[in-house]
Amino acid sequence: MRVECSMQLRASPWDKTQQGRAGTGAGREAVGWAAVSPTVQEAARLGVGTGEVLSAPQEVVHEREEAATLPSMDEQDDQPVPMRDVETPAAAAAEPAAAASRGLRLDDERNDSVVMDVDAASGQHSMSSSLDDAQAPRRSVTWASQHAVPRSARAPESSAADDSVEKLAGELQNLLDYVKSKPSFTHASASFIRDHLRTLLVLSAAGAQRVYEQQEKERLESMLASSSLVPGSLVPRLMRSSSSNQGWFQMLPNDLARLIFCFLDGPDLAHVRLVCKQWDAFGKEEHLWQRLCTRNWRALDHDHSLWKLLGSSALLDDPQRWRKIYAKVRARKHFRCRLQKTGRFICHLVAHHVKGGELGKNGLPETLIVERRFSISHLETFVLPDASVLYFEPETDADRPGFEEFIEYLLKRERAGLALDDERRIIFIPPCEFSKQMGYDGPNLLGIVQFQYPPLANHHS
Amino acid sequence: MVDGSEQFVALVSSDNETFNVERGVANVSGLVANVLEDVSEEETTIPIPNVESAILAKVIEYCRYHYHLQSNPQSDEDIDKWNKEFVRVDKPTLFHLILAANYMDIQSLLDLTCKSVADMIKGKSAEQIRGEFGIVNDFTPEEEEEIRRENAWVEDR
Repeated sequence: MRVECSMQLRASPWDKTQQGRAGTGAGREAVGWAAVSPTVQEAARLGVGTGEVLSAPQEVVHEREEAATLPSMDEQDDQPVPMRDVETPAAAAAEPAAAASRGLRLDDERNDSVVMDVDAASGQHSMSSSLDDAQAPRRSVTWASQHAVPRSARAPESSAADDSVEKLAGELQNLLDYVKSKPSFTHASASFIRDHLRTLLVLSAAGAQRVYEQQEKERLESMLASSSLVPGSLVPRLMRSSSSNQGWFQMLPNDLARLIFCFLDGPDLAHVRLVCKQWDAFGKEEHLWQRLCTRNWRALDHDHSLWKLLGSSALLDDPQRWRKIYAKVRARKHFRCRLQKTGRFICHLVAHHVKGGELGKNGLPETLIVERRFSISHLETFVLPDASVLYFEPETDADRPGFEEFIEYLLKRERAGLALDDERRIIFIPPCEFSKQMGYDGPNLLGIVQFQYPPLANHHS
Repeated sequence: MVDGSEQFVALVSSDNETFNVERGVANVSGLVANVLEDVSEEETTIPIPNVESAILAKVIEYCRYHYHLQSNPQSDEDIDKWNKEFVRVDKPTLFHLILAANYMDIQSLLDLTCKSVADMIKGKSAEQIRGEFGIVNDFTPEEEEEIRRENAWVEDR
């Protein structure tokens, strides 16, 4: 008993020939794709057609009988069976593919008619994907696996037979023999040969891939079995310490252990200091804390005035200053925004909240547009005592020229910039007497965020 | 992917297992790439004396996947998934992978494995971490108290 995947073919020369034959000689073979296909596909999924002797599921037989009783499957008919007469939803879905494919029926002389599914359409579609799809080769019932290779000699799945020269050569020979046996084919289009070759190649490549993977797997498994390994581990027993996990961390050179701590954030890094003295030493390493501090606040690296602004100037001489200032840095919120003068992009900014009231849940708008300017001499009047104080820095080095140009521009005119966000005023203060009074004597830009002041009508320039 | 024209390199582990690997795959290792630059074309055996065969097999698996990503790009999500699956090994294996990645100069594998260890540490109490890595608490109560004081800013866990 075999499973046959047939795809009825309309109006192609060999089909015409075969159709009649199938109808008369082997009536049970004349089964519409629609009737058989789901079952056959199911059978194929179950492994039928990949090498086992094919025992067709009962349903297949059953379906065939049903199909044979369909009026349209007139067995004596010399015409190709019009597909739409037996159309079912499944057939409708399969039709586009069927139109592009050739159902090649190969007929061996033992009256053991084989219907080969050369599903060219899906073969072409899956040309690339089927290599990765272990199911792909199973989708087609390969006639060669039933003919060229004797069943008894067929090796189990994933054996070298999948990728043997003998197998592929056998398939080619079968094809040649078949063509030779049908003189009428010499006048027909060779497209079925192309389709078949294509399918062969796809299947063969997928087989090769499977064999390769299998060999790799076996190789690894035998390696594991042969060395004195603890199950589930790749590391030989000898190399494991006798008591649990002891010593693995200690075994790592310090440089590598440090690398692990690089992936911890501040609270975790502080916390691991409690583990043991060795980890305490790692958890105190300044470069780790420096990295954490400057990750979002680059200016801390070079702007000492900023430390003063944060009230931590005393730390500047402390060998553990980064670890000590981290908590303060972490508590400060920062916001990323675009700085624009009216209509013109200046740079990307990071705004760090330094002191004064929090900015609320919305923080800062994504884009700050400096619409107005006023004299820095007015700052004393305009800046409210409870205003939020920001420290601006360019987000990346690429933003630095624009950022510095903007400061230069304000300084030259002795102006502070003003951006509006609904009720809020965002004031940009270049380095000046006023910023010194605020506790900052560095070269960068400070910001003030407050509500509704200065009044806009009178004081813009 | 296995191209017939591709050259192979034999990597020999510390326990004398030989792995025939496509040149491109082997080149993911900075160490191998360096050696291959200096030797003639015919010389294709490279000893990796610091790495056991079982670990080397794993490293090659990593190199192969990441090498093939060049011609078969995958979504970050898929790569992430693969990487996560790759480091789902026991701790001794993971630590040996760190050593091997460092020795063979495979930065991305070094990052992956170190991060994986860091993930075992994250969010755990000191006691849990000691249990996880078999570490003995060698602090005096006073020393421990001192660190706790310095860590006052960290949320309790």
